[in-house]
Amino acid sequence: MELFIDRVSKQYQNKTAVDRTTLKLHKGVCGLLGANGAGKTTLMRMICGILKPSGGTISFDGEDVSTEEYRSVLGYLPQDFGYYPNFSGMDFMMYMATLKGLEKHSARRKAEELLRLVSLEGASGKKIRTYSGGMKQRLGIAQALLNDPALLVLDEPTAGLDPRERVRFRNLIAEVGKESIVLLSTHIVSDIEHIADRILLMKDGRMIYDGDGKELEGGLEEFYLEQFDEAQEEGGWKNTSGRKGGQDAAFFKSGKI
Amino acid sequence: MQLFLSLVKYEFLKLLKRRMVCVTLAVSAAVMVLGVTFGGRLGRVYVEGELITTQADLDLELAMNSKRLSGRVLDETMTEELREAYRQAGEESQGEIVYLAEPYRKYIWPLEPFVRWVRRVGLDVPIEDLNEETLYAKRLERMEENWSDSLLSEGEKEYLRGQNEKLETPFTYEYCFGYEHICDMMNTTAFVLVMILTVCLPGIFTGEHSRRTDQLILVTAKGKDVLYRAKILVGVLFSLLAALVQTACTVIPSFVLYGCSGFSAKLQVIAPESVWSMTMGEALMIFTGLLFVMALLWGIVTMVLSECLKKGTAVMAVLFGFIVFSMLLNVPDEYRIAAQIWDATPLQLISYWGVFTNRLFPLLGHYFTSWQAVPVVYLLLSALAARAGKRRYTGFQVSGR
Amino acid sequence: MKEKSEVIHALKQAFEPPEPERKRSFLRTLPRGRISSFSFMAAQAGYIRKWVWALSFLLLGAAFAGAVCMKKETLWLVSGMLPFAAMAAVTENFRSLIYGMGELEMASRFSFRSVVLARMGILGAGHISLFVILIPVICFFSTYTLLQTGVYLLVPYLLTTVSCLWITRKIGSRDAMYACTGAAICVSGLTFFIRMMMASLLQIQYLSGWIGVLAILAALSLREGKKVIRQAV
Repeated sequence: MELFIDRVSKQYQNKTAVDRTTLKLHKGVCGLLGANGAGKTTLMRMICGILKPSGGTISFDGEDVSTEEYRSVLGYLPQDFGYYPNFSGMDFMMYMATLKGLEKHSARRKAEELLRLVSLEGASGKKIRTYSGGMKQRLGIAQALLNDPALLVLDEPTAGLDPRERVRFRNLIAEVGKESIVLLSTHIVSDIEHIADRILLMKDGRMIYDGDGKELEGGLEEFYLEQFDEAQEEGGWKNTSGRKGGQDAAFFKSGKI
Repeated sequence: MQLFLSLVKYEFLKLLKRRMVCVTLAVSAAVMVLGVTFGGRLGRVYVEGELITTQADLDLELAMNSKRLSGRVLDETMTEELREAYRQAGEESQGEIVYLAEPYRKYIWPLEPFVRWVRRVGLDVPIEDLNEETLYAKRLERMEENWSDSLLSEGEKEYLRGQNEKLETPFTYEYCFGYEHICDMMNTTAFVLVMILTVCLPGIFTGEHSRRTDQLILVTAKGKDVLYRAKILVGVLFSLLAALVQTACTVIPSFVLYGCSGFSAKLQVIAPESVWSMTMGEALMIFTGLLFVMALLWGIVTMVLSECLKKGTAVMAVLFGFIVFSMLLNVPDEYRIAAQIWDATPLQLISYWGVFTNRLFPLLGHYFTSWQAVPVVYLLLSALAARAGKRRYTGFQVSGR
Repeated sequence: MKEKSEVIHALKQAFEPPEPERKRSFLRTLPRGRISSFSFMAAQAGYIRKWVWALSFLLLGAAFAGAVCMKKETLWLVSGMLPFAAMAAVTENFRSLIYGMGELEMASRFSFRSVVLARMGILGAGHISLFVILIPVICFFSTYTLLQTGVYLLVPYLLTTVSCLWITRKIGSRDAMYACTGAAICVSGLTFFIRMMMASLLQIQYLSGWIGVLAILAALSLREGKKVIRQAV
């Protein structure tokens, strides 16, 4: 089981969103960290085949990203996704199951099982437009797991989840990661620290770190914030966060508001 | 196959669960029924400032006169009766015979269906000179004039003359008000139908983009090719269903009002200058068939446009602009090819003058009529549009979010 | 003088001012400049999208062009286009609700209600001016009286207004734009439909019925407008 990302780039008119990234991912949970605009979502979309790379190829066990076979082993939870307001939770799951090519009876069983897993079995008959933000997110997670994906791509999956749900989610992903490739992007460093076997740090479209995080001095969070601070300084913001000299006011590089 | 049908079912559910779709279908059906039933039958009739009757009563009287005269041959006997009626009305009026005034209603009104038929032929001689020979000669003369005005080639004229020779004259008048009413309404039916499709169909594709569900569905195994076909099929089925509903809303009230007699009445009863040997029933079937094919084309073009533009409002604006343009623009006959192409566009085609036009489509030494050639072109265009839309849909890139 | 300024400059360079303390709380005590209601309204005018005004000008242009080319049929061309002006006005008024800005606006000094009323005032004044020009111009070229012309123009406009307000209240999301456009198209189509198929309804004896419909639609517009605002606040 191998996801091969071979010199993949994405170029826009005035920006390089992803710059010749090469990766080989195997079974396990891989955490993708990076500042806003680092290129995480762009990379994930290319992996899911909904954004065409400017260069390079992506394949899973030899199957190119553009094939139906590739998509049949893929599960994806986007960062910002919509729903059909007049569908109930179960309707939505059954519809997604149909799209994933699941047969009706097994689809229903799987949908019920997953809704139970994400604690939505009580609300499965209600219309999605009545769901809270966290419920919608959990529904999104459930649909991503419908086809027992060998490749699971999750873009900020814990957004909108309360701490307890986040813990449950981590356990779920850790479980999935035993049998599948899981690529998980988030801003919450602790989510990755607990479950990721491999950590990728992206900055300005490039991978600046690829490892298990154990060798980082001061821990992953410190390392991440250092990279983040550098990026902010270049952009003109400096977040003191009480770490330097006790200053409690954010100010521009010039030191004035 | 089951998977495909399942997707079709879900897509249909998604479409019909939109309140706007149900409201549009219901309102347009109601408006069509009311329009067909009451259109042209409201209002009162005044002659020289005096209230004579209501439009509805006048319409009913005309229908009864028409039924009474059904089966009569449009020959010398008929012209003689008309001459006698005008003579009697003229004596009583002692001057100008005013339409629907007392002498007219007493003597001429019972023969009004014949009078209208003679007017359609375009005979403009004094009533004393009206006879079978001049009537049918005038018909031929008008036909030749129309062909020349339409810039028909000699080959086309020969073909049409050949068609005309197959007709048996003198014609027999038959009551076919119901069919005539439906044929008159067909252009309006087409107009309402394209409005329904313009409003209801864009959401099939644009809804995925506006709701941001495109990211979810495009990454699934069946989310590209299979789902696209399912969506197109749903759009096509909806278009045909809407066409069926609108046709029913036109046909049923017309038959309720005027009865369904007249299936075998010749087309020449309502269109004397026509050379086509067909009955009113056959003409109605042609109209209906063309309406369905037009619905298919319009539906597919709407869906493909919506996938190209990604915004429902933009699609509606473009299509509605085209509808208004269709209503306002008239290409002069001297631009033969442009006029013929324009007359084959959906809203121009579904009308009496569009379907039974004298302009023919030459191909490999044969001539094809509008109702023979245009459906084939429409089906081809539909297939091409669907194919183009598929490339667009499967090649969609999620970016800028 | 030059020496003085040099000394001042040198002192500024040499002296390091102390870091400010409790700067924010001090700044809050100072009086802040506030804009007047009129300035707020004028500012709102700038936020009304250009295409809304462009549509009004297009209508005017269509009326004058139609008056030259189409004469009697100008009335139906313009009354077929007016639903889109109504749709543009309603969706512009309630753009906050449709695009999810409602919560932010409700929490600000000039609340959602003020924003809506300001926009209604501006767009309403614009459309009233439009009607004041359109009605006499079209009446001049048509066979209908001034009253009939006004009624036949206002009825589709208000019917669209009522429909769009109802849609905005019921849906209140981006889907509402799509639905409002659909409603405008349906009303526009209905106008053409009446002209084509039920022209007898336009006879003078039915004018009182039309005026009744107009009055009902005007009342419904007000009611729906109030409901939308009340629902959002």
